[in-house]
Amino acid sequence: MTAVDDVSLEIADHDFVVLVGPSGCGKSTTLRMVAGLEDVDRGSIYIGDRLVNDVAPKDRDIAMVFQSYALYPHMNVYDNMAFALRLRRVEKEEVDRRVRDAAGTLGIVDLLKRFPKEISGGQKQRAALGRALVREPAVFLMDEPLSNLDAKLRVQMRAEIADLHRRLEATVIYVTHDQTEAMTMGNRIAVMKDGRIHQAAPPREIYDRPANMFVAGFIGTPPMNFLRCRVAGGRLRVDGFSLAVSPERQAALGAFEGKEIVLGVRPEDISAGAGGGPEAVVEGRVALVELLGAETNIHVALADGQFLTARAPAEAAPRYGDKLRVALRMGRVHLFDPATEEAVS
Amino acid sequence: MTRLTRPKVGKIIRRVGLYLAAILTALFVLAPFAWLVISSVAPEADLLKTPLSWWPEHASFSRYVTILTTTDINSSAYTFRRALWNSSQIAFGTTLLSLVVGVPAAYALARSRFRGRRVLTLFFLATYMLPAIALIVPLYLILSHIGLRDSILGLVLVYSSFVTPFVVWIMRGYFAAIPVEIEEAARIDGCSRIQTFFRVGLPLSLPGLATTVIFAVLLAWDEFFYALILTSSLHAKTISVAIAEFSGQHMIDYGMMATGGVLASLPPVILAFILQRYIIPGLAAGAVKG
Repeated sequence: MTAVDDVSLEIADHDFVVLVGPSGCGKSTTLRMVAGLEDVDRGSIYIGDRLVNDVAPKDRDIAMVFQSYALYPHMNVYDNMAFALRLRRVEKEEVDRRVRDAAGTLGIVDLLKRFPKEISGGQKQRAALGRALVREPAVFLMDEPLSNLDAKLRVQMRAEIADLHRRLEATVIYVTHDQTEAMTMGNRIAVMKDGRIHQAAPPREIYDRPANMFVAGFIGTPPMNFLRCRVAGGRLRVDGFSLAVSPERQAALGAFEGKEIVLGVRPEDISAGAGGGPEAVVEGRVALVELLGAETNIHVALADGQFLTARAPAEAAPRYGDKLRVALRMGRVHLFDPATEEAVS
Repeated sequence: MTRLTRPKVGKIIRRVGLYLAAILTALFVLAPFAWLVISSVAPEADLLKTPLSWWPEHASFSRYVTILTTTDINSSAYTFRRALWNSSQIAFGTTLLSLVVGVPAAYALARSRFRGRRVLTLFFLATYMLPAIALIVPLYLILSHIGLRDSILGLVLVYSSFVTPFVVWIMRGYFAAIPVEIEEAARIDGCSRIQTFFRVGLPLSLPGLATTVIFAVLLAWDEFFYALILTSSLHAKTISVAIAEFSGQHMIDYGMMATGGVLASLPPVILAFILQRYIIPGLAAGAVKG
């Protein structure tokens, strides 16, 4: 049983690669192997052209930001940020310049004399970022740096980190379990589960063309709906309704004639109420209505026990128990093989 | 004037009771020492009077002067001064050796993963299960063989054998309490393992070190049994033995005994006062979330 199993990934200069997945998927372990904090049992890690498997963390030209900040409690913020530079015997003036530059960028110049226990969580995270910034490393490694911050701060820091990446033209490997962070910050996402990378691609591609049911259900909120259907006569049959796929998909359906297939459709591709052609509609009862303010999520229960979540405009206000027709944008649905959970092209 | 409600009265009574208990306990603990100090400065006659007079009329520090300055080698005062010096050397040497050996060992046990680590840790604890009585004969023979009987070094070695596990046990706990991420951050920032130990591990375990030093010194200072059997002359006689020898001689000089007792208790107490401000609780708290 391995924590990370056959992971291969290529990260280009200036990439912001996000390793995302549920707890225990191996993303942190992978990051720590790149950092040199975990031993690699098999395989090779290259930073640039250098094989770094046996190179100590300090010699890999990396900087890491931890989820728990990991600031040195017995030093003030200035010394925390200067620590690595002083170890390498950088001259005092250079150290001072770099520390003040980074502190200025992060807005923590006033905190330089303070100690970790005297500053807030958000400030600690900036200090930890600053400690990494002054190193000017080849790669920034970030292990869920925003997970311990409250929601508002998280949104703010997300934008700041993304901005930093742009300005510094840095290469970043970022680990998170939050798919929103993955989608908004990375230019490439690697979705992981059980130690394997299920799909590595730019956010748009992950969202529009997920490789399997796990990726499809993990990215996007509310998550994609999965409906088990039967293929009969080139049509999808679910709960007594018949759905037709777009012509390009028709051919793929052929292989599943007479068998079960999984239909994946995102909540925003389902509209409640009227609309939709004859073979793009299902009907059920309203099981739950979630008012989000800007929009409303409607959970519909089909007669066969399956559920659909539809995203509706804020004004929609169906009542619990009401019968509701929903129209599916069949041009944007996904098809999955029920046995392998892979996407059917 | 507001009426005192029932809860407030209860609170006051509890407060008073707490302070009373604290004061009584303090008195109980400090009274013997107070009597010791008084005896050391009281004239001979006062100490032998019955009923005892609690406060001497003419206090004098002459006994202290005698102990600290006498040049009469045969006097008990000289013996005492010499024993004080021996104990100081032994306590210092023992603490130093135990720290040099024990602290890195504790760090290794806390951080490194190696086979048999668990067993080794338990072994350290197991050495305490052996009473001194069981070990005294072999120790005596060994020390005699290598010519270290009745010597400072010999006693330092013997004392280190039981102070080192103590150091390991305490420091291991303090090192283990340092969040691993802080040391990982140090290793990424540029520290080798040894540098991480000196620049991060040690500074963050300073409270543990201070505590360990105090207890190590106390253990060595107070030890009586090994000192009694393994020393015979003024070369290595310790304070605990010297005090015990004050009684059972031709006459019992209570005043001198008291003076010796006060002097014997001073070094550890002074050390504790100096080190206590390093025992700062929660030093690492706040640097790491949660």
